[in-house]
Amino acid sequence: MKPRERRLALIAGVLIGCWVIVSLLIQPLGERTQALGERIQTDAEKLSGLQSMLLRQVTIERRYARAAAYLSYASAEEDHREFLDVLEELSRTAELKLNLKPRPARLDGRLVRMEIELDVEGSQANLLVFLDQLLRMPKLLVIERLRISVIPTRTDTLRANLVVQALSPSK
Amino acid sequence: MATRLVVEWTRTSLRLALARGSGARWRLRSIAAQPLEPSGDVAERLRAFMKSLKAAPDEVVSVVSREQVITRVVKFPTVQPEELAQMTELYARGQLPYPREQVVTDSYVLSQADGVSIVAMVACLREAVDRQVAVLREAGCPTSLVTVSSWGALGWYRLLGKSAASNEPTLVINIDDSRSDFVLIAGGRILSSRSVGQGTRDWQVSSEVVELLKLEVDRSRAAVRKELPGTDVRSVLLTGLGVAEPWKDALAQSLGLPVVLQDALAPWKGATISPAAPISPVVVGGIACSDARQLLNISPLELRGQVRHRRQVRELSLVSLLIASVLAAGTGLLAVRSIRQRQFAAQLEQLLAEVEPTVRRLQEHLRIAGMVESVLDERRDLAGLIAGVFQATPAEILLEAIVFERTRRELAMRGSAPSTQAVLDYQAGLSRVEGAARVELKYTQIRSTPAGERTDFEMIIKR
Repeated sequence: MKPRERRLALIAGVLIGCWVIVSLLIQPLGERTQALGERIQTDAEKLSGLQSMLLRQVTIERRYARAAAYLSYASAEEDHREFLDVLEELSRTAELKLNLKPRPARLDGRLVRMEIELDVEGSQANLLVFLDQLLRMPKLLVIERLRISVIPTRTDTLRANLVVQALSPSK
Repeated sequence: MATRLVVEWTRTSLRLALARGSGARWRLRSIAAQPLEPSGDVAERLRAFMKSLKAAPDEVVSVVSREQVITRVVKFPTVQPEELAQMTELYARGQLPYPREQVVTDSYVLSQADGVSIVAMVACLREAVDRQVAVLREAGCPTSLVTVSSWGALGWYRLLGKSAASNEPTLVINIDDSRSDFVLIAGGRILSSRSVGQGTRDWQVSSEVVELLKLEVDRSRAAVRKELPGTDVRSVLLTGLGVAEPWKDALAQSLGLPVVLQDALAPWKGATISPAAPISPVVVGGIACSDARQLLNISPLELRGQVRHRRQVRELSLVSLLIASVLAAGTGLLAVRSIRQRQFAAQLEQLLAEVEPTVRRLQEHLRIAGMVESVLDERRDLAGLIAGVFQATPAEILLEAIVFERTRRELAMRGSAPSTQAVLDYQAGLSRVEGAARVELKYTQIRSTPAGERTDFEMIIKR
């Protein structure tokens, strides 16, 4: 080989060697380091968020403890039956005529919604007592609709039509 | 640090000098000399010496005796380096007593003034140089540079510094075993040089030496006057092998010039000088410690090409090594960083795994608590609103229907009042109820009843 050819061969060898080192070692290492860096950043941000949640642990647990009193963990049927019994008991106590139209329970996310339509008739005072006790009930209730009206023929009697949803966590 | 080997052989001995350094800074490590028989194989001796070295030298400088070269001092009407090189080449082609292809040459500028350069040209028969290079190649030490022995005296003189002789031009007389060099130096340059094939071996009677030296000095002065009119020797520096103190005074007296006697080993106090044959270390030692760029170079063109090629390959190798080192260092750093990041990521993941179940439970609790609180708040608001409406309803207002729709977030009321003003007053009273954002009166209608006129109305309370 001529000196010029040897020099060119050496330069080519150096370039190929550099390319091999860069391709097989440095580039994969660099990519891996970059990916690790991104993962660390993501994990650090996630951990920071979790830590801020942990800092609020006492407050959250206190709120949950207060909310837990309104949650019933009995089965849906039992809960439904129990709720209907309570409604009947309330109407009896308030001396009201009660007509119940339970609708099938439906699952909404992690909640079971039991919807009941109530028709109540009675004096104004008794009806207000019934409503007051219904709204104070230690159960998760949502009043979807409330209609109170005067019965034209009986001026001392009110009729109330309510659609109530009793919520309970799904099992 | 590179190593340099200087090789010179005369008819009586083989001389070797080893130095380490680079650029202009070289430090002599050792000088060795071996007696050489007339039929002695130099290559074999050299090969044996090379085996004793730990590593092959980076540079090998071969020394040609001054007797083997001819010099010419020429004036050229230019000071431009390119033009000077062309003129020198033309001179070498036309004026040297040998065909151009049979000689190797080099030149150096003695002085430049008024557009004129005085150049010293040195020429040597190519055959002599080739022979020397071939011997070195056979011995396994490829030659890097071929120079002339006089430049050893110059290198040695430079190592002494100005203390040796202050009156320049100084004639350095180096007496060796079988040769004597007469080198006239001024301003760090050789103005003229001669060499005679006689040395201490040839001089049996000491009294004759001074006479012989005087004769040679006179010849040197005559040559200088001829080549460089107006230039003369102003001092003499006597050194070499077996130089005796009495010579100094005798020579000074006969020449009428100041003569300084200098120990040849003076510049190399720490070097290992172990000659098996008596030699003067001035030439090999001086060349070993000289900057290669300042040495006369009478290497053949192909040898120069080879040296240039070797240097380029060495530089390329060095650059390659540097690149490889940088890449290796970069890879190492990246690997260390990657390992540290992996450890850190593992720690983070472990922490997340420990914390996550608790946080998930908390999130669930938070969601449930939020949901329960929103349901209770809504119920409470509705109860408050209805209670507020009843409290704000005066006895004269008869309510016929109250309708609440959760999805519409409003409470609609129908009823009747004694007058429209009573309706408006009632609306104003309702707007103060807690939880009522806005009270809209949908309509009023006056109708007659047995008890008198009544105003029917419908109102919407927006939450």
